[in-house]
Amino acid sequence: MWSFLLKRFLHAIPVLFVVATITFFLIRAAPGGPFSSEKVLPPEAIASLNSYYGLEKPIYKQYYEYMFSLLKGDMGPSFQYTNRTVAGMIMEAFPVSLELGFMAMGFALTLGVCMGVFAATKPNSMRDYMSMSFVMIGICVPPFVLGPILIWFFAIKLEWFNVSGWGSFRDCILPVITLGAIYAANIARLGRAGMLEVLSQDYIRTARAKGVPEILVIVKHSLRGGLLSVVSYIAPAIAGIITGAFVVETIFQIPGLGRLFVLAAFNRDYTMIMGTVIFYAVMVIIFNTIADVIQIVLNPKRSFDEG
Amino acid sequence: MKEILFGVVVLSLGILIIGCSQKKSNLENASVNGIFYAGNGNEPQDLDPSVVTGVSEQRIVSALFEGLVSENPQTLQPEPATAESWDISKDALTYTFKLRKNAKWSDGIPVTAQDFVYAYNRILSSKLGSQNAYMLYCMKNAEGFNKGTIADFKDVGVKAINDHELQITLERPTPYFLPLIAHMSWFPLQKKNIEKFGAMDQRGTKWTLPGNLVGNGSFILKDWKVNKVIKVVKNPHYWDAGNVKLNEIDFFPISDNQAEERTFRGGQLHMTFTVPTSKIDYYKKNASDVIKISPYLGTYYIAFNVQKPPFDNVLVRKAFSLAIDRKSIAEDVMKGGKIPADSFTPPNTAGYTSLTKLVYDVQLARKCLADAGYPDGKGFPRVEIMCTKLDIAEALQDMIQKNLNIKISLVNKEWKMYLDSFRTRDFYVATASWIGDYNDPLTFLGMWTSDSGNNRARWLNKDYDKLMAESSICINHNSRFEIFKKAETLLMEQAPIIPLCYCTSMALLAPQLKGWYPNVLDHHPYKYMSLEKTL
Repeated sequence: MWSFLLKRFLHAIPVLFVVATITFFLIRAAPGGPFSSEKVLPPEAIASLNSYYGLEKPIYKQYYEYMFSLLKGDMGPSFQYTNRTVAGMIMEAFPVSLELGFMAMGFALTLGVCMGVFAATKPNSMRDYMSMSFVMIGICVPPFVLGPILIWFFAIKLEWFNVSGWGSFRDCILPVITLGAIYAANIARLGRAGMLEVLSQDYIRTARAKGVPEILVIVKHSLRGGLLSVVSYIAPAIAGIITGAFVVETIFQIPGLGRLFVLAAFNRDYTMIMGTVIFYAVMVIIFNTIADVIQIVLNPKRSFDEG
Repeated sequence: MKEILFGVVVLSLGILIIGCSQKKSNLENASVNGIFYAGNGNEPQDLDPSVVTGVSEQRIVSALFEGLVSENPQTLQPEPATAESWDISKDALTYTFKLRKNAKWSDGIPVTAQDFVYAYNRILSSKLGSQNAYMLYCMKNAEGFNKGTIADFKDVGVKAINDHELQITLERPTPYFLPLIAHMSWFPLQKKNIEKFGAMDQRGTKWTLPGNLVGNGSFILKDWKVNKVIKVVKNPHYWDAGNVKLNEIDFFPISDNQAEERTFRGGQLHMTFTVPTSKIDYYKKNASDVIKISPYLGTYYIAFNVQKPPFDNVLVRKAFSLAIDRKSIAEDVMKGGKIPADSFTPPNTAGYTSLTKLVYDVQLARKCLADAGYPDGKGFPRVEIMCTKLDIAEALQDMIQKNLNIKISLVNKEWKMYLDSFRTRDFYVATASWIGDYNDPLTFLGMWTSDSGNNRARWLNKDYDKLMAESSICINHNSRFEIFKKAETLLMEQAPIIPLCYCTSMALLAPQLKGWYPNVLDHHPYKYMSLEKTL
């Protein structure tokens, strides 16, 4: 396994290099700059701002200097939030996103797997149709619709929760449901399909013929194989859920990475865009590697030697 | 088995929800403790008064610092603040301020005249690159020092006579000088505090973080969690601390106005930053005591690129102006009590009201267009309206098509792309708005001179420049306004821009909040605010 991980690590280096390079040149190609503002700045002020942030230098030099400082772990100061560093802001937002992401994924897994298994145990029955209809609703209702509906009912009508904010466990519940719903729906569909395939295998028929109780057939003999596709789905999904929860973070005012990521692009906060994109790429690589490790552990047909 | 599984899921969700059910009363608790919850728009970029420009930042900075004068919460007239009194020379060029002996920084050290001189030196130093440095250009040689033509700050018209006397000399008489210096760009700064974290003209040092920032305002920075909350608490060293009724203000950076309105409805805010257009009618009908709509010192307008045909022709611009139903735009599209505009400067700006009247006359509009060589819109080139929001642009597109038989495309651009198109002059017509920096007509009329960077239409008119130059040396208040009236009439005749409607400020206020008064700058000094404990 260690050589597998080392190989993955070595693959990650050129991937990150390419991601950083493409992002660097793309954001500089976008019209408008970090200092374009409604009230036009005198040329002298623009010149001193450009000189402070090194933007007056030729682009190849800026690129070289940025990559060099990146290697040293320095992501530079934020252009937008002048008294903060990019690394500092990412580190402040990351725990919040991690907490929200893992809770949402936990919720999605619990609900999704239960629904998927529930539906698969009696395919084409009323139970199956009802579960899958519920799942379709989860897929079709986007967070910007589900979030405000949950807020209106549970926070404004019933006054059980705060409308927005991030402080206590209570504040997590509505955002977690809003963020997790679509993942729960996808997991339920994948879980159902996987379980159906496994439940039609000969060894399951054998187990049933031997008189193994149905609950053991499902939990002990089918789940492991049936949920393989769910495993390969959730790992990259976690990376996405952590950095890509912009809509949910905006609806519920959660100080996470998603808002930093999107607002940085709007503000042309060059260093923050670079920082968040690279961080996101690292997350995707890490979680994909974890997914592969889990897949190999769960699936006897695969091994660490395949690379 | 399946029933058990299903039961477990339903039960666990039920427990989760019931376990959390407990009626909350955030606002009541906060009001009892004197904690004011304010929606504050965007996350502040910084809290450095010399660097920041936005309204979100201004609202916090004005709690942490105080200038020589402050604004009356209702009339905005300058009132003594850190300066207890001032003398004005006969030629209206020299102002001498006497500072309060009991004015102190939040670390207990007295505020001195040198602190003001230091702050002005800092904001005008070109290396700092302050976007607000131009606010000090009325001070003698300030512009030259900022632009590097004057090397020594000693030549700039500000001097500390002693610890408690500050003298400011102006470039020319500036009737709006006292209201102007209530702006955050004129706030004092403590040298020791700033230079503890970096050089005077270094941007982005850590001096504005909680625990570091030393201010002279009625509140002290206690906590700053990015994208979450900024907390300020009452400053015990503030010279007028006895009259500050709030104990704490929590500023919530809620950039999405729908989310902010929901947060208010859920009882988590005393005051919102704004109101979503879709909710205005609801509040006006069902909670008219909660929604506050008041005139705001700003104008929505459209700008033509007058250097690009067909808008280099004044008749075409006039035809467009005459074909626009401003009343419909104000009432049906913009809503929120907007008033159709008759001029670029909002009426009664520091007592000034333009003589111009903009009419909606389709027949005359068609005649102008025909005179310009496009009878019934025939032969008119395909042009586009650039905007960042489609609402006004769509209404304009419809009116122009209906009234002038001209087809116009819409280009909805992201904010920075929109600004870049102005810079590169890559537009025909653009929707825009302008908010005045200070309560004087100059903030509206000064931007259309040939040398102004904010002249987005690139309209160059020597007569207009001459009038504005005349107004700058005019000492007499009435004569100055007469010159402005002439200039504005010329501006409206030439129509490089078409004013649409005047801005309004909107907020939702909880009934507990007292001491909030509507005013054209939407400035609400916290010193006068209080929270009623019970309703």
